[in-house]
This record gives sequence, structure tokens and C-alpha cells, in this order.
Amino acid sequence: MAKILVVDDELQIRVMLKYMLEQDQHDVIEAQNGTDGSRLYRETQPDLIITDLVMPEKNGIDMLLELRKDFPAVCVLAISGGGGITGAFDYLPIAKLVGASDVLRKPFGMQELREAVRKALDEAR
Amino acid sequence: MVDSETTVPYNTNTLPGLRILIIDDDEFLCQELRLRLEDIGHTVGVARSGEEGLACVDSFGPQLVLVDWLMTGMDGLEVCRALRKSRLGQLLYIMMFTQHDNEDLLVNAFNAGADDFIPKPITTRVLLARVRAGERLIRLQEEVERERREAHRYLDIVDVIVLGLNTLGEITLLNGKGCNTLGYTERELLGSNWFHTVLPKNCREPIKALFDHAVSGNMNNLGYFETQLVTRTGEYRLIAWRNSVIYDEGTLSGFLFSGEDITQKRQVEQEREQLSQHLQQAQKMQAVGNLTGGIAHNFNNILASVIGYTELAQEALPDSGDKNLKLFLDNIHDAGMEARGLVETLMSFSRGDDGGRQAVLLPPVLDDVGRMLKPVLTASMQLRVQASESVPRVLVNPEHIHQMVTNLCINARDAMGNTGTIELSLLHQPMLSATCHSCHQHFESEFVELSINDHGSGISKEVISRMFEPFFTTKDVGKGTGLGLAMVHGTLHGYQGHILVESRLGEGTRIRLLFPVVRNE
Repeated sequence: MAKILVVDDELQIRVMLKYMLEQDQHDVIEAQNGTDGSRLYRETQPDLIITDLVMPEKNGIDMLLELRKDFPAVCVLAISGGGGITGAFDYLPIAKLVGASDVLRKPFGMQELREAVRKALDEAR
Repeated sequence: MVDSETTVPYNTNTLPGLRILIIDDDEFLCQELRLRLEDIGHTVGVARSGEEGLACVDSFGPQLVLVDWLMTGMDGLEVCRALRKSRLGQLLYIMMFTQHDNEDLLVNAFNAGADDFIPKPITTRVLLARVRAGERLIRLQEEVERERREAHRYLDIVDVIVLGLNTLGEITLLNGKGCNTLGYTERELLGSNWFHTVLPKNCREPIKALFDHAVSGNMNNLGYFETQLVTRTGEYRLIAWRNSVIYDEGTLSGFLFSGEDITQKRQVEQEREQLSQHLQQAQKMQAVGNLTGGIAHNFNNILASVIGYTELAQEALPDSGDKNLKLFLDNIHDAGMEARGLVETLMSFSRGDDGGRQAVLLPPVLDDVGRMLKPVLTASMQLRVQASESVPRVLVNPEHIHQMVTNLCINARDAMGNTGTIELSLLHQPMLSATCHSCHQHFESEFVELSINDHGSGISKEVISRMFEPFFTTKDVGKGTGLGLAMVHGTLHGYQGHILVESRLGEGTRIRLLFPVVRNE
């Protein structure tokens, strides 16, 4: 059981992740962009952030970079559809480069999420 | 026409007189005539027989020849005929001494090539009068020749080919530019048939037809046209012709053509055209890549919901729940996963995939692929793998090689109608320079080449230019996704590789996949 911050601009995805994670008895906090995510991380100090990368306001990469300055041990699982909204640029490898513990390409199944979360939490502890 | 080095060596400016050769076996007469003629400024050479005369014609270079009809050895008629055949031949003015006044004999002498007669016994007055008459003709002839050479000089300095043809298609004139272009001298070509001498076999008929049409009075298509010419060394040149018609007292007597060698110009134009096409194609592939990347991103987000919520619903449904509902959810999940596979392929087009790369030797990979492909091919098909050659390592994901080769072999299979042999081969290309058929960029580098050869129906140029675009397919609806080659393009370019396609309709296709070589790994 862990405290997990879910950051995604799409309500559908947030709700889905919340349901999935709650099945494994995790506590889920939701944010809809990088700015909110960054603020909520500071306020609640969750064990793990699951974040989308391409978002309005502040994207996942920027949020990750900002948090790592203050919290070098921040544990992040990046999720993305790969590619940008308007182009072929893939942010997932970038997330890995700037310190995400792991990346998961959308769409993924519950089992894949479960394993990625477990692995990230194990590494963080 | 006569080339400058073969013209008569006259020199009218410094020597006022003529060069006169006397051929007579009467030595006394010879000396007498020589004195008379030298007296009025002519240069005189003497030969005591026909044979001697002919022998010194080339070195002495006479303009006028006085020859006796009756001599021991060759007689005057024989000498006449021989002179006309000599190098100076037609330009000589020949006068014959004769005692004959029989008309038939005189006509015979004219036919043999004599220009005039001097009756024997020779009187100085008559001799000099007739030489003067001959000189007038010689000077006129020289004048004509000089003008002709002058005109030819003008023709030679213009930078276009000037060609004259008579109505039979025989060459009557070819200037310096024409000679240089074709690699012949004008003398070699004069009188020979233009169509048979310098036109390539395959375009003789149509051009000759056009020409004959023009000869018969229809000039419509002869104003401007282009033909290929074959030079002496077998090279092909492309010439753009403009023509004008030569009328001789109202009747058509020939054609004058001016031709511009546009071989290089056309080549440059074609290269430029090709370059701009490549650029367009490259931009298009880039745009399509961006578009598919964007679509893929959004689709993946949607699919994440479809698959995720389906799984949540599946988990929420108790084992004892509605069997139909369970089946429906399973089907939604399957469809979602299928869509995920499709989007993955699309994304491999737009950006390649850099996962799972390792420096590998391709021969063992190819052997694997060969084994795995067997089930894809029908019983009447063979797969020949030639991977024995030692090739450097390449940085790839072996799974990608499997996918690419499988896609290409399926295409080859379909192109061959499920029968025949597909050949896979590996080759080291230490330095290869070409333009990629999918990204349309020019490259020059070292590659390992994996080629897939089939003897199928072949691919048209139009299709080759588009076949790497996603969703472009020539297969029936439902038979192909149009993503196979797009995936090959994306993956290979993700490796900084390139693709070359060689195809002949009805004969087969060779797809050459080029992988950059790994060094120091």
C-alpha cells in the first residue's frame, strides 16, 4: 500500500488509474497538469508519481526536472502515448533520461501497470 | 568540298602567274614553251612522259596542265583520265596539244577530262591566248573556292551544328561543330546517308519518315525536333534541330539544319527535376511521419481508456456473472489490443524504434528468419538464403529484422503468385552512393546490404515513389494494411539506414535494405 500521485490532463485516464490502483489498496491523489502535480507532491509527499508527459500548463518532463532539484529521490513512472500531439517526437525516452524510474507506453493493461508500480516502489524503498 | 590541307597550293597574292605543268616527250618544244610562259610570269614544270607528269603532280601542285596527245608510253587521254582521279583532280585545268580535228576524237578527249585544245603546230599567240582564257576560269574557280572556304569558316565558328542534306538524305555539308560532335571529318561524311550513318537504329525509321514527308512538301513537323545521334565512338548525343528548306530555282533541293547539342542541358534539367521530386517526396514522408506520430499519440491515449476500463470491467464482473457480458468485454479487449498493434506499427513508421538494439552479425539472424518464414510460404515456393559472406556488424534489433524481412517476403510471395524462389542475400558495401527510395535523401556511406529478390510482377515507377507511405497499398481491400513497407521505412531509418528498390515490370524486384556498419563495438 502506497500513496500515489496521478498526473494526467485527461479525466478518463485519471479515473481509470485511480480505480486500478485502488484495487491494490493504494491511496491515489490526482492532479491535472504539471503545475498542480508539483504543488501536490510538495504538499502530500507521495511514494510515487505516475505522470503523463504531454500536458497543457506544465508538461511531465518539466515537472520531473523541477521536482528532482528539490527531491533528488523522487520516484516517477512516466506514461505516454509516445509521440507528440502534433508530431512524431517521442517523450518517453526523454523521461527516462531526465530521471524517471520507469516508463510505460499507453495503452497498457492492468497487469503491466501493476508490475511497473511494484517495481518502481521496490526501487524507491 | 575539300579540306584546307588538301586544297591546291596556289598563292595568287605573291605569284601573279600560274603554276603550269607541261607533259610532252618533245624536249625542244617543252623548253620553248617553258621560256615563253616563264617570260610572262608563270611558274613552269616540265615532265617528259605521262608517267613522270603524274608522279610530280602532287609535289608540284599545278593549276594548269598542258599535255601532248601523242606520246610514247601513256598517251594524253590516259594522262587526262588519271589526272582527274588524282588528289587535285577536279580543280585542274587541262589543255591538250593535238593535230586531230576529227569531231568524235575531240569529244572523246573532252570526255576523258580535257578542258581545251591547242592545235599543233603550236603558235605562241594561240598558246598564250588560250592560257589566258584558261587562267580566267582558274581565277574564277579559285575565287569561288575561296568564298566557299570563307563561308565554311563562318559556319565553323558558330557554336551550333550546321548540316546540309539533299533530298535523298545524303550529307552535303557539315560544319566544324558538327564534325567535332560526331567525331568524323567532313570528308568522311560528305555524300553518305545521314540516317544510316549517325542516327541510332531505333529512331532511323520515324525520323526518315518525317524527312520523306518533308521532301514530299509537308513541312509541318520539321520546324523543331530532337534526335539522338551516335558518335564515332558510340556515344549518344541529344540534338535539338531547327531547319530551313533549300530551294533551287523553285524546286526543293535539300534542307539546312542547325542543331544544338542539348545532351548536357537535358541531363541537368532531368537531374534538377529529379531533385525537386525527391525533395517533394522527402517533405511528404516527413509530413506523413509527423501526422501519423500525432495520430498515434492521441489514439494511444484513447486506447488506454478503452483497454484499461475494459480490464476494470472484466475484473469487476464476478466469475458467476453474465457469460455474454464476459464475452463482449473480452471482444472489446481483443479489439483494443489489435488497435494497439496497429498504432505501434504506425509509430515505427514515424520515428523508428530504438529499443532492443545490439551490434549483431546478420548472417545468423537471416538464417533464423529463413526458418521462421517457411510456414508463410506455400509448398511451391523456395527461399534461398545466401548469408555466407563475412559482413561487418550492424546495430539492430533482431526482431525488427524478422518483421521487415517477413513483410518484404510476403510482398514478394504475392508478387510471384505463390510460386517461385525468393532470394535473400547479404553483401558488404564499403562505399555506396545513391538516393534513398523512401526518404529521398542522397547518401554516401558504408553499409551492410540485405537484399530480397523476387521474380514476380515487378513494381511500376509510380508505385515505387509512393509505396513507403503508410496506408498505401496495391493489394485488395482487406488483404493488406498498407503499413508493411511503412514499417520497413520507419525502422530502417531509425537505424540511419536506407532503402533502394530495383524493379522491372514482369521480371521481378530487388529490395535492398542498407544498414550502417558498426565500428569499434
